[in-house]
Amino acid sequence: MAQIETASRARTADGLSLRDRLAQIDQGILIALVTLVMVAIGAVLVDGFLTGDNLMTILRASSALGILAVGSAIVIMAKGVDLSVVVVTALTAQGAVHLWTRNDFSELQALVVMGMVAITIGVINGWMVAYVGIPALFTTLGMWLLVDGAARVWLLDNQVYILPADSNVVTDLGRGELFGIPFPIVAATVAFLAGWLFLEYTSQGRLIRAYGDNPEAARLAGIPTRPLVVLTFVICAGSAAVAGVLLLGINGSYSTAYGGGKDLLFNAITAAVIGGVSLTGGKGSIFGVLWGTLFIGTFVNLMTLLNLSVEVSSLLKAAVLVVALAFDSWLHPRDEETAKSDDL
Amino acid sequence: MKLRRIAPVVLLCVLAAGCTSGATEGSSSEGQEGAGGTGVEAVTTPEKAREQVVSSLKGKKIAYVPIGQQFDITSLWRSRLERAFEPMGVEFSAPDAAFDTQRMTQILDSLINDKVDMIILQNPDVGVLSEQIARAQQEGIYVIAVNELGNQSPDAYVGADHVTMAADLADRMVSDCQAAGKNKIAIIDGNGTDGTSIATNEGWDPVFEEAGMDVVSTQHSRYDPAVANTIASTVLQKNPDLCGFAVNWDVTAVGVGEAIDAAGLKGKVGVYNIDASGTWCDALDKGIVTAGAAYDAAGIGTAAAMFAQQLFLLGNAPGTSHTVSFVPYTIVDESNVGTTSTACYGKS
Repeated sequence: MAQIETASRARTADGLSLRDRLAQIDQGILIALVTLVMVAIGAVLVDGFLTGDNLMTILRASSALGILAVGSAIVIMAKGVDLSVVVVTALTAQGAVHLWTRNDFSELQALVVMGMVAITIGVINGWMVAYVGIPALFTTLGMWLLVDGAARVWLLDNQVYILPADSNVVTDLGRGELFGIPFPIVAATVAFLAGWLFLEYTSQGRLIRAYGDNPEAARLAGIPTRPLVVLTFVICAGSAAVAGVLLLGINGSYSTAYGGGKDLLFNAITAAVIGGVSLTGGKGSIFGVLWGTLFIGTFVNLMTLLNLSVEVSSLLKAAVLVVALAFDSWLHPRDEETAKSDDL
Repeated sequence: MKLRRIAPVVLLCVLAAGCTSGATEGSSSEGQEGAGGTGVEAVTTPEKAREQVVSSLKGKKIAYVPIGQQFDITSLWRSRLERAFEPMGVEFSAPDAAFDTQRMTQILDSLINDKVDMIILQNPDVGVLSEQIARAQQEGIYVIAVNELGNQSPDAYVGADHVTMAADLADRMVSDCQAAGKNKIAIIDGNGTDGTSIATNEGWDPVFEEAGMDVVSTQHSRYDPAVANTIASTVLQKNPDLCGFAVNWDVTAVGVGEAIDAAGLKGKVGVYNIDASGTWCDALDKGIVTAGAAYDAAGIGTAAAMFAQQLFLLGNAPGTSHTVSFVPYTIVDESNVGTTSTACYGKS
């Protein structure tokens, strides 16, 4: 045991172990390098991969995922997790079409109402976690099932909602362009910039990291931690709502049949974790989440170009997540502090 | 092509022959003893025949368990079954499996334990409900399967002939591609292991092969239009000269059509799919899908109700006879969609 410890902490010339040195590097840089290597391999092996159009396809296909990943990362940084994004994403998209086509709402009114519903779900999630003290995992799992059931009983009457032909707002969001750039890519860029500015340059953003790093210390320092936790869930729910509307516009429909949406949740959490957002909380960067998202987008694109099935792609993505979690655990080993404050 | 058309009929005959010769096959018939006898008498009156039908159904418990209840096609079947059963005094129930296979097996186990008289189900996969179907029949419960045929034969199956439909659709696609001087196509099926994915691949693969088409991609969409959209976007980047996509389901086809439109290839790359609901007809109006196999979806619900009446009236023990029937279909596009009664179901 001692030998293993010695080996893993083999000192380099400057006295730092390999683990210590890697832990000092932003994991976002590591995943960026891995992604660039994957792009280089793809460019050599796969005909038609490294073209401007295909790279634009990757960015467009990754846009909704990226927006959701930003929201998920902020919750995870505050030592939480939000599984209810699956239902928030679907409910926003399907509920908006339902209100609009069956309840005489205008397109914009329907979107605003469903956006408010999403924010309300975020507030309830945050309140349950921060004030009632229920772990985020169970709160958001319960909220997922509760909202899904309630929506199926009282609102939605179909598993598949098609974007009506007379849509202007959603169609423009999903299919429009701004200065020649597809709008979903613009929206994702804004989300990443906003996430970065929020975490780096606002007091709430910095306090969220501090809380995630050590909740007890944050509380003792007089930080209003409970409103902060609520805020993270509201941001996450808001990002899920935007992602849902974008997906509706991009795909022209939203289906919850056959488990629709669960892939999105899995990919969002994977993007955050492989981008360096640690499940122990407090660690990670929006830069890392960006590259985590690009990694998944590029990976899925390559799998399709190589004509590998969705199942093989999912298998490999899951393997990447497990490796990333193991790597994270090795880089940030559990100690007395994390054990006391607990993680996911 | 003739062989493909004849094959279902031959299959039906073989199965029908199997039922008569295999009358002692396995199962008990405790649950249905004395249910309806051997049908109406050779010489009877309309009134007497009606009485026999009603008495064979009255008080029977029939459960309808599709993959999910909140779907245009499954709610269409439910309404047909309700309309047929309620006047006959049937206790009809429709629990929702909500696209959860585990929940579906639990519902079926519970229905078998409750000793219902008949289960009308939709297989989510060729093998997953085999045990439940066999057990139900052994417990004296009739099983009718709709639109998805699994490995375990029910007492009756009624649905679309996905093999022949896919083959006809592929013929149409090949014809269009050859006229356009293209030969690249991509296939997007469902889960890969479900009955319709297997059947459609069985139908269109030989046609594409015979015609010398280049199948550049074969992917599973899991019946998710978002997944189909991503796959189509990627395939189109590599193959902008693609002739078209062969897609298993109309809702998935809409996702593919949106990807083609977004790539600026609307009208240049076709979308050919199985099924033609109201949702698909809206997409046809938008010009993002090309042709679809419109089968008599409503007829499946009606035929299932007819089979139910027949099984109770004839009174053969559950599991001793197995029959397969297919509903008619038409390949529709913008030229004939307005005159095809089986297209655009569920459109308000």
